[in-house]
Amino acid sequence: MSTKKSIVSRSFWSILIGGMLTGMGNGSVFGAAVMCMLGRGGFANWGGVGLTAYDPATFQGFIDWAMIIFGLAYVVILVVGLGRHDKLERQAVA
Amino acid sequence: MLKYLFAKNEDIPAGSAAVFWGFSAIVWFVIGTGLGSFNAAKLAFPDFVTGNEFFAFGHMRQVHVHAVIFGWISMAFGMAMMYITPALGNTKLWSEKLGLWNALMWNIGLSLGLVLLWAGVSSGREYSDFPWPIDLYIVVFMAVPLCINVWMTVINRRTQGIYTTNWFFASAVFMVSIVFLTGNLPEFFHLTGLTEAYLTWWFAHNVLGLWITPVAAAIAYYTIPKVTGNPLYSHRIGHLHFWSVVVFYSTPAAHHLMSAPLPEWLKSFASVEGVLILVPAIAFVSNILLTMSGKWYMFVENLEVRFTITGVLMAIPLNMQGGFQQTRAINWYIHGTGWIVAHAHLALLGFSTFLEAAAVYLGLQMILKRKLYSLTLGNMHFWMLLIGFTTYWVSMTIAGLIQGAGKIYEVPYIDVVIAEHPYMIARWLGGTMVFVGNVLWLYNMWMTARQGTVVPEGRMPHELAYER
Repeated sequence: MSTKKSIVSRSFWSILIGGMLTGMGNGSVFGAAVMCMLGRGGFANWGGVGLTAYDPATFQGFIDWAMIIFGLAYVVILVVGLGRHDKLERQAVA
Repeated sequence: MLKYLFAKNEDIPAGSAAVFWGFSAIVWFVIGTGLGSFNAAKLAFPDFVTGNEFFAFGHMRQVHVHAVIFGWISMAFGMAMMYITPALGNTKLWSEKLGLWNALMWNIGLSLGLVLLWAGVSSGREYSDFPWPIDLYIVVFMAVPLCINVWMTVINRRTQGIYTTNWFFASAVFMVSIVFLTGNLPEFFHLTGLTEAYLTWWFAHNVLGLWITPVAAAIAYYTIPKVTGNPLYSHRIGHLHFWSVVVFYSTPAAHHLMSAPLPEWLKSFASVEGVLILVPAIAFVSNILLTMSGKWYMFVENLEVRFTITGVLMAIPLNMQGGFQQTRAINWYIHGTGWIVAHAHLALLGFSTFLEAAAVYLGLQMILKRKLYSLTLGNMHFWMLLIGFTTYWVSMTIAGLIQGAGKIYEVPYIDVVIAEHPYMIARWLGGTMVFVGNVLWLYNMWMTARQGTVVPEGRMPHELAYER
């Protein structure tokens, strides 16, 4: 065990995809809740493709950004959590 | 398998029924996701296969939905029940013969139902699309025999208590029969209007809430302790999970109808119950993740654990979405959009499928006493499922937000269709990746049965090194 790479490095892609997916799901709800509370802009900001899709003032734009930020946050949480488990498990083996 | 249908029960090898259920489930998964990929292609490329009503989206959509719910998911559940229930009761399955006949009748009934749906014979109600004779068939020949086998196995157990998994199994097989009989009352008695709408969504919600969610979770309660060798973190939290599912998950059907003229108190009640779904969700996720303590290296090294933990991670956003997307404010924006399609797939293709796939991988290896034929193919299956599903989910969520904006701002419909087009192509690519991954899985499990390394008596498959 001790000669192997850490759990974090061996599960890099699982952390990246799983973490982004998990965080984006939570970010979607957070984004939708905040935008419903704040209200919406004008017709021009409806957020279709090629329009102001990522304008944070629009529903879609704000929620997309919230999803990305939450996704990154969950990746960080997994890196920290699995890093700590890796230390504990290495100590247990040693 | 078929040669045992007319054999004496005591002459049928233990696990025969589970193998029949397991391979049936994988075949239905290939068929169901193949249909999904085909349907997604029709949304991405509107000129793809036109001119034949049997290949029209309106005919094929229900076939896809029912093939994955009652073919893949439910038969994987049946497989899990056939081998996990007796294992946790330290006994044999009550009747292998009933299990084999049950699987056969399940395949026949489902095939018949899907052919009828394909031909356009439908009740016209989402999720309870099957015409009423098929609904009755499902109860009498599919759900009740499964219920009898599971209950009799639990009753004849040789352990003192009943482990959490078997609590869930025994209650879910009972509840799904009630759900079918009650949820289809509008068709049995020609109920119309709000009564029909409410019962339709009571059925749809509870197929998810009282069948798919609890049984999938029950599987994880078995898989993680069994493979890691760790005892379940807390049996008591498992009980909290069980009872809070039964109480909070059985009642919020009206949250599917927040804009309908149902009584306001009913909608408020459903919305509050919907948020309370977070109680069983948090209990389940924390219980499983804490059970992993000291064995997180298996998240990297073990395929079944990786499938299960990924599915459990997906339960977090699933329940956050499920808990809050039905509150009035958020529901106003996302109802009737692709967001809901993404959420439904997060439940069925994400959370639930990953847990069931782990159970089928583990169960077939244990029953056949054969090591998985190819770890490479297993890993490819995992990644094609995860990347394909993630592509699907992200594209459909964003497409849903565009649709929501189009709906609220009263944007011309065709503009919304054009805006969604790139996401429809991404959806098709993701879905097709899942389908191809499942074809590889079917091959891998078939080869496991034929050429997998023999696992010695008393050993777990993951204790042996892979040879390929």
